[in-house]
Amino acid sequence: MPPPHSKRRVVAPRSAMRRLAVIVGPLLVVGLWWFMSASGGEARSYYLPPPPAVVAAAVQGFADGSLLEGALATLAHFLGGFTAAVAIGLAAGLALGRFEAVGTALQPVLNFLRTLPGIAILPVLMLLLGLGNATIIATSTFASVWFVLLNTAAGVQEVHPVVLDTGRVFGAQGWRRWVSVVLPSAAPRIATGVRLALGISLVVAVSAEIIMGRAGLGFIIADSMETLRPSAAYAAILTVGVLAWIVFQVGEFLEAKVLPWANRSDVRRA
Amino acid sequence: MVEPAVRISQGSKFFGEICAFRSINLQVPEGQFLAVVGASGSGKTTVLRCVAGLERLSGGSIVAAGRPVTRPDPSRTYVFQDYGRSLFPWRRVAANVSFPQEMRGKGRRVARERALGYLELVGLRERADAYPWQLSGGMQQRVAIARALAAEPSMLLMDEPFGAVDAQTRMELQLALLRIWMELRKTVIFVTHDIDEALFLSDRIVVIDSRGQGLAMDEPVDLPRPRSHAETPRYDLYSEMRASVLRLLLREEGSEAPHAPTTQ
Ligand SMILES: Nc1ncnc2c1ncn2[C@@H]1O[C@H](COP(=O)(O)OP(=O)(O)OP(=O)(O)O)[C@@H](O)[C@H]1O
Ligand SMILES: [Mg+2]
Repeated sequence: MPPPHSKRRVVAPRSAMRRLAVIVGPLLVVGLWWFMSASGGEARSYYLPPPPAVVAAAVQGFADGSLLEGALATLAHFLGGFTAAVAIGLAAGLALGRFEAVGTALQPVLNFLRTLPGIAILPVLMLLLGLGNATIIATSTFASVWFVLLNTAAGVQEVHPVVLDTGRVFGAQGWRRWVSVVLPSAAPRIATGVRLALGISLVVAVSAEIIMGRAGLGFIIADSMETLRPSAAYAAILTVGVLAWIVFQVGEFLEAKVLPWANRSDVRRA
Repeated sequence: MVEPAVRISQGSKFFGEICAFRSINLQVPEGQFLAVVGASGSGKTTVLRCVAGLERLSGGSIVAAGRPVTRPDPSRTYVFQDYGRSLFPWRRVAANVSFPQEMRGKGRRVARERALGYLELVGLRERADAYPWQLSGGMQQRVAIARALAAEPSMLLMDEPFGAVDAQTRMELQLALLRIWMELRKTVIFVTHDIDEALFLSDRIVVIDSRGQGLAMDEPVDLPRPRSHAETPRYDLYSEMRASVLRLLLREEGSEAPHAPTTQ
């Protein structure tokens, strides 16, 4: 991601227009929502409550602590799944990149597992691990770990020969070779895997909550619908959206901090 | 007898069936600036990589500073043609230059201090905190040279280091390299396919025979130093040597075609 100043520079000439658009767009969507809700009779306004009802439910949910609690539970599930996916994916990916023959042998299986919708494993894990948090976290990890793993292995294998030769010429050996040459060289590719894992582990954590959770925003969505409180469900859905947005912002921020050089094509030549 | 910086004896290298070079005998004295020229595919890069220890010989031996070359050593550093790839994009300029010292276990601060010194030498000290990809091609290659020097090697191996820059920048880089070489007096083995570059820079030119028959030519370049792009080419010796190297390269090419008409 480009440093903040270059972003601003790109936006600058039409900033007034843009600022207006940024406000008008969402307003239009909310307006359309409201119109749809109001124009479809009682049944529709039940399943698609008008914005004020949802806002009221959200206020209520935050006031009694249930939404915040749910958000924290979801955050914990997601972070558990994501962190495990990154740790396992990195370790296994490095090993696979190191022993290329193993990587080649496992490639088809790994590619299959990557394309497999991870949530499909949930019923199996429910049997294995029970109906607790462990199952949600494990499902989330299972769904996202392949992206980190495959990208790490590929990143390690694709280090350019000139980079490796340069390391050798200047005496990078053993662990130094890994830490100072191979890993940084593979880092942008690894970051791609981590970014994918970030989105998927969150989606799958919420999905698992909807199906079998006893806490978390996914659980609140499912529970509110079952107990005939659609406004509360919508409030939880919006909260999921906000949570995801925050998670991605933090992710982008960290990436820019850790790999300031990785997206260098958008950086102007100094 | 003074031990040469490098001695290649009956050196040969095969990649499977393909012969990269064969029957190379070469001694490079300490502090010499040697230019290696030859047709494309004659094995220049491979010879240099073998001297660096990046490749093992198939036959014969290479001895550097009295020890057989079996793997890379920071006493022989390499400047790659592909500077864009060879500089690490994740390290800033100074950190690229301090890399060799860091790999030897020097602390970051000490390594950086020295790196700044070498950046000064190539005239890029004020760009120490830029990323390499923010610099022009010529600047990048100067950073690569600074990095190669920062390892404090006794020998610099350069493979067409200025092949990818424009003519103007190339001349500036040649002058900068000569200035540094005059100051530090390291042994340099400089591979190029540009005869003028070879003549302008070196103490001695060797031409690798592209039919695998060792060195087709090995001559001293007794042109006065310091050299200049305006004056040096005006010496008779310059044009004579230029013609003979050129003839050699062209004759070699001609001899590969069975019915090539004889020139001259
Ligand atoms: N890693 C390799 N594997 C197989 N063959 C190789 C390898 N490296 C070089 N060769 C072969 O060895 C021969 C000499 O190659 P080399 O790169 O040393 O030539 P060169 O003189 O540097 O040519 P150029 O001027 O084009 O750079 C060529 O036929 C090349 O195909
Ligand atoms: Mg070459």
